[in-house]
Amino acid sequence: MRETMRDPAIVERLNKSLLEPVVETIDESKVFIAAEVPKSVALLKKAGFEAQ
Amino acid sequence: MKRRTFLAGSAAALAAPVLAQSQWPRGQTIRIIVPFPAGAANDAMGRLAGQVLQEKLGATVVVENRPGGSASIGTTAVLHAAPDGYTLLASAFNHIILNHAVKAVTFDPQADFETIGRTARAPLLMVMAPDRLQKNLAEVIAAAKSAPNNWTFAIPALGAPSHLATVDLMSRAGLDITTSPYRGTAPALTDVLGGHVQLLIDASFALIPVSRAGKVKTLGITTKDRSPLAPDIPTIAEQGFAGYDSSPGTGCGRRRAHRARSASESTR
Repeated sequence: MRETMRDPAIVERLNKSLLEPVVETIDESKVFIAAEVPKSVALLKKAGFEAQ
Repeated sequence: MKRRTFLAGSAAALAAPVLAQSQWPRGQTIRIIVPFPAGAANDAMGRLAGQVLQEKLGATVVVENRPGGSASIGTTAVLHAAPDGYTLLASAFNHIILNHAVKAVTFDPQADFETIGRTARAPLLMVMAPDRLQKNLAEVIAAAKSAPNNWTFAIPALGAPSHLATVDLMSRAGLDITTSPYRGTAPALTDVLGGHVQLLIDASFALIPVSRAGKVKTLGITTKDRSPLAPDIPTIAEQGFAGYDSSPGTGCGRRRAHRARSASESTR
């Protein structure tokens, strides 16, 4: 997928929708996603949101 | 609703090392489940991944839309698939906190799923129904505080980045207005276009066409800085909400072959 995300045709297609291709390793993706969990949960708690 | 598309052709598994077409197991199908309706950003990225897999591996790829339950239905379908790595979840990674947003979710996202890869950053736009007269975010917030019963925020999916961005903004602004959950972007946007609900934050992928066509009023983008791809759209941060930043990713995950110990189990 990293190779694909560098493809100028794919980049142009995604950019039209303001999407920015990400070129990173699987481990880098895992680190990013893992860091999102506590931030997102904290946000829901701060807003007083309860599961529905 | 279940929508399946068979992508015939050739293509490599996202998670696996790149294999030559001749190495791909004969007859082995890759299934990509999109937990949102066709047309969503996740759907587009899932189909793109499917095309790549076909081209690299020569496998048959089936993309299947399984919307509903704020993505919990499609996510659960991936969880119930055989743990062989051939069933993938195309997601905005909202499944990682689904158990905090949807009561019916019984799985542990961290223990049961693993991330395969992030493919794109997908900024969100905040838009307003076309019949409202406010010109910018400050005017909207003032009006919504003054008459909260006249304003409703559409929520395309609970626990999704759009939901998180909405509660973050409401919290920072001190807004106390109704939020209305929808089954995805399309019905939420339809109601915004019709003026039945007034505000929506969702993926630029879905909103930029109606924004550019002037069918909704675009109030801001959720990223920290203006997008170089749309420099005319102001950030929400620059409109009085310094530090506001939501730039979610899209990509793929899959169920783990062996369930990992959950955070709570690890601390026992």
